[in-house]
Amino acid sequence: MLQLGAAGLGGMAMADLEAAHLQSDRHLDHEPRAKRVIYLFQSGGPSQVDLFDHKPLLKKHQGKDIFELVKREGRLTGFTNGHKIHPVVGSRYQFARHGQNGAWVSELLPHLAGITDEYCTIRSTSTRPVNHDPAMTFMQTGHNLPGRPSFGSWLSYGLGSMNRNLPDFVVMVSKGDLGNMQPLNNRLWGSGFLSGKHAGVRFRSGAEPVLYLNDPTNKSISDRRKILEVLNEMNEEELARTGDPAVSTRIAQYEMAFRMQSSVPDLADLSDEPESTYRLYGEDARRPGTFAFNCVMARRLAERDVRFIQLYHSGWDHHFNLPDHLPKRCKETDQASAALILDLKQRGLLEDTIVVWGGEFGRTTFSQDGKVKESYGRDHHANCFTTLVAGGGFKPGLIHGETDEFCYSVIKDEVKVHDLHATLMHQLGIDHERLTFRHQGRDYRLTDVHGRLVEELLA
Amino acid sequence: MWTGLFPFCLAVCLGEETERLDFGRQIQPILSDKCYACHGPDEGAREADLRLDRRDSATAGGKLAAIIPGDSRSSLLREHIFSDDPDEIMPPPEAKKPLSDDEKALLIRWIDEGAEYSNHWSFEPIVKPVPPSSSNEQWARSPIDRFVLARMKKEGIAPSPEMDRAGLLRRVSLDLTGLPPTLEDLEAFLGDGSPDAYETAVDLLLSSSDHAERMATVWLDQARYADSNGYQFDNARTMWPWRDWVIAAFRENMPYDRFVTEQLAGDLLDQPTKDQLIATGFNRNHGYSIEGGILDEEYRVMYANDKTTTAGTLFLGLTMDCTRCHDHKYDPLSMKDYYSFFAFFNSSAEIGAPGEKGRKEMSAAPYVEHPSPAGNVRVMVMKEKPRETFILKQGLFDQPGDKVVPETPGILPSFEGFAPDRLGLAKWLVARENPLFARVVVNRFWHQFFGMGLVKTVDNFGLQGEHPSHPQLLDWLASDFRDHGWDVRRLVRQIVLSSTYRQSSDRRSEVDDPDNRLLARGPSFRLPAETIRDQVLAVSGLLNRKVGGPSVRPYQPDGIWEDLNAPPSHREVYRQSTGPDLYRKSIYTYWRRAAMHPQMAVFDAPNRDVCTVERPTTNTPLQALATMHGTVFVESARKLAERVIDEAPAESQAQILRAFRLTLSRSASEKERLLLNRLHRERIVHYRSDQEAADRTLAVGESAVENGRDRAHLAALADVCLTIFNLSETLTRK
Repeated sequence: MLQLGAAGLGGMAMADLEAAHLQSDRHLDHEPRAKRVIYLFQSGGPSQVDLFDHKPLLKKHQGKDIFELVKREGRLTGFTNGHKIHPVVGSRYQFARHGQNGAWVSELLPHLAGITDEYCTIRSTSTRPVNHDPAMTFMQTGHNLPGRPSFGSWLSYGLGSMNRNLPDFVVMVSKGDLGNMQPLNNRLWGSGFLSGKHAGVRFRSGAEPVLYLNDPTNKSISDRRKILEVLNEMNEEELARTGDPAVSTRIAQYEMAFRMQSSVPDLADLSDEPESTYRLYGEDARRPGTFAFNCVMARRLAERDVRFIQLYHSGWDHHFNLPDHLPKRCKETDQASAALILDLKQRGLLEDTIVVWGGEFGRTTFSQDGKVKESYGRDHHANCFTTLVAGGGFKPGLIHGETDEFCYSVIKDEVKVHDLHATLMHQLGIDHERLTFRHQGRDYRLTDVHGRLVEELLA
Repeated sequence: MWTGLFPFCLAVCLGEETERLDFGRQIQPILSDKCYACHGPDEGAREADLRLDRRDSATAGGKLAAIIPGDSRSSLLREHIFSDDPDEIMPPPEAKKPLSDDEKALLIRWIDEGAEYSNHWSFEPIVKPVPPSSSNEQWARSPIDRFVLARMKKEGIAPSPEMDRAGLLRRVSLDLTGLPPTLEDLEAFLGDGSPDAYETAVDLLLSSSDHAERMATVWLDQARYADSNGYQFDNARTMWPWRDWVIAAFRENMPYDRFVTEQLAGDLLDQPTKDQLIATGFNRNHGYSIEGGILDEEYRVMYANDKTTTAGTLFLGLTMDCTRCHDHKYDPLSMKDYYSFFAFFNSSAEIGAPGEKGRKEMSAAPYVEHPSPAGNVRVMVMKEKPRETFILKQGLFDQPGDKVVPETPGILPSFEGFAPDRLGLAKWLVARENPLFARVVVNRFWHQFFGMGLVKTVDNFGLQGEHPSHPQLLDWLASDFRDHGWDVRRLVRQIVLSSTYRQSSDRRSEVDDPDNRLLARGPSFRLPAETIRDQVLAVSGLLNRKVGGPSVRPYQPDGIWEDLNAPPSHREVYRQSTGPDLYRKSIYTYWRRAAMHPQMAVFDAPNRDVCTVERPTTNTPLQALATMHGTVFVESARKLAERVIDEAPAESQAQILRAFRLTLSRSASEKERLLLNRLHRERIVHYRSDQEAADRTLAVGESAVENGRDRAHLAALADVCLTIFNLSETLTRK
């Protein structure tokens, strides 16, 4: 009944809107292999050498200055660049090989270890900045300085929307005290110089998933509908008077806002999830605001054809006492990350959904605080770190790239941030060199003037 | 193959056009966009030792010249642009910027016409043009109109009729003050039959502090003003005394050359006053990082880069930032130009971030003490501290190359005779000879009132920028502004008094000009974020018009700052203001870069991380949610309902009409009246049957409902007012 009303009144305007949004922005350079991205961003810089990049030799050199063993290149942070000695410290965690592909994964991630054949392990990711703010900005926007659009905004701009009831680009952040957390500046999902309609919409945990979604006067849906009909009718008058196309867009947007008031609560209401969901994702998934809950939400958003779903989990910044913190972050994310991949697969969604797991940089294999025994801490490291990618035509089970024995530099098949971006875009049907936006006289793109399609990663 | 094709194409593409091609308007944009990246000013990227941005180089080489003037058939350029061979064709396929057939034909025709070059228009001196004579003296009441009308005539169209009087007053009030007219202002204007009634109304608006606040709001985006430091933790800073300086400057109509000089270099003036020092806070408005583990020198260089880029954009309309790591690809700007300009801003006494506990000494950063309600506050200002500047290879702070001294770009008038510091720079900027400053500035003011610059790319007057739609009008405005003492109020008055500005904004089916570049109608665009909120506060009577002082914290959904996810040690809590501070104008809303006020963000206010000269105007469902559900809108609707009940106590229909007229400055049509009355009747029935629902509607916001009111009636009327607030017309300045 309500939908009929919407079609009757706002129907034409909606068609206009969709023409504007779904077609004019659409930019496909070739047949896409994937339609959506779920990006599980691990903010702070997870320690690749304690999780995925097994380096047994480190133990042998425990305590020695790493720069007697490797050539110093790349940058150190202001924390450690003045240190006289940078003592090597091996991981205190046990590693084992897993799956058909024999990938090494540490004991901290038993669930991801159980599905190593499902994702591609890129051990040779590298970035440039060594501090959080620029490195996160770089990873999310392709540039270390503020002002550029984020990955999801580029997709929204380039590919348009796949659904009428939800935004193209949704962001969710794990709540709670996660130790040494890095703040998450809104610009990380901002649209930079692109239109604001391409900015990520943050879904919050709790009673109001989207800002201003809830009517503070708590009117019933039919009352809201009645008011909207009056508004629509008056706006149609204005449209007839002025001929201003912005009026017809606005009519359509009020209709969409109205639909969101039902679609978003439906989405966020997990009461229709069977018990098996919680067996798969873990009991944490029952608590709004946890990473596991957000992973379930991510799957629900993917089912509803949201284009870009960005999750953030913070607290991976382990300069000191890493063993006190790293296991907690792993426990919070491991099961749900693996569950999400499996769940998408069993629903046939992994085919055309790309799942990315990774942070803004890696961590040093030397100890920041000088400690090398039970407790140690690691500084930021830009030269090499591990990123996981599943689904969307990426080669499952592939182990790509190699770092040296001290995990200091990439020695084989480096994947720079722009290369990763170019490859992700390629799978979505975009030539990263062709999706551009002219700003201040220059054609800007996500990959700046860099980026290489890494075909070896693709199935 | 193509030789046969070519004459055909020429005939088809160019029709009967016989005028000679204009290099700057028709040829340079093609060369710049498609060729200069490899054959332009950037020496490092130049291929085949060929540059096409200069005639001497493009035509050098005798028979093997890329371009042989007058002889396209012998010019190598023709061979390359029409080649089928992927190794020969230009631009090369990997550049992914193929020439269209039209563009090829234009290039060929231009070569055959003699391949004349001319300098880029914006670098040429400004010569005040004589306004064209007009056949329609009555319409063309100002020089502006003569230029605009001449262009329309060329296109064979006539201007739109004048906006109806009430609509015009609403437009000009929103533009000049960010507020709709009051009913008293409206009645006075409508009742004033004298020929200069509109001028009287405009002058009244121009003299208000509301006008100064509105003008300041626009400048705050450009000057990237905020109440927080940006970057990682985005902690608090105190720069509002600088913001108040800006408001005061517009209030006293400070000449624009002084406005710029004091902000760029107030500290270098003879015995600067405290206000002149505060003005220099402009240079320190950018973000500061306090992230652990950053290198101070790297960030110090980044801050100087920001100052450089901001000044380049605002005062020259040049994308200086492109020359930070390499020579400019399009504009005749080198890295040396960049770092010589950068040198003006590299000599300042600051290291890292101010205001942080511990890590960096505060004494190194210059401050001025300023009184505030809660004791003195410290405002960041500029202080010169000489420092050598080097070209930074690839823009890297630790890769110094050749030494440079403060200098302005070589392509522009000489810097000789000016002091090599920021004050010298300011004097050079506003000097008569500078072709860019006046053009760039008047274009921005034009943009403010027309939603579109005469040069569409308000931030770029370089080769990749767009050509002006009305080049002579731009130059006339620029020289007139300069010759009349950089009088901003005079310029604004000229603009809003023009017939061009007064036209109706209704679309005309016979004019195919969606962007309104021909100015054959009045502009219409969605109101800016600040006005959307201030307007409802104003009509409801809630608005607190106090000017200046510390920023305030209006209603904001819970958890916005917490969402920033800072670690507990850096977590800041949003303490909502109380009482009248809840209803201050939006210019005073606390501006936190990393966690913007959501209502501002959703209506396209920038986060001010960087200098922004143009806000987009989007149209999204999140905006609908904000204005339907945001506390300030719901509360203002209820206050407007109370107000009209008090002002028109007799009957509800009069109340509805009054609310409508207060908001939109016009009377409701018959149909609108019927719809709103019906809505009110339905809502009142509902609220009579559900008293709790009425209580909920009336409980939104901090202001109280007086005892003794008919709550069902009030709640129903509040719903009607909220509906009026959400009309497309209410959200639009047309």
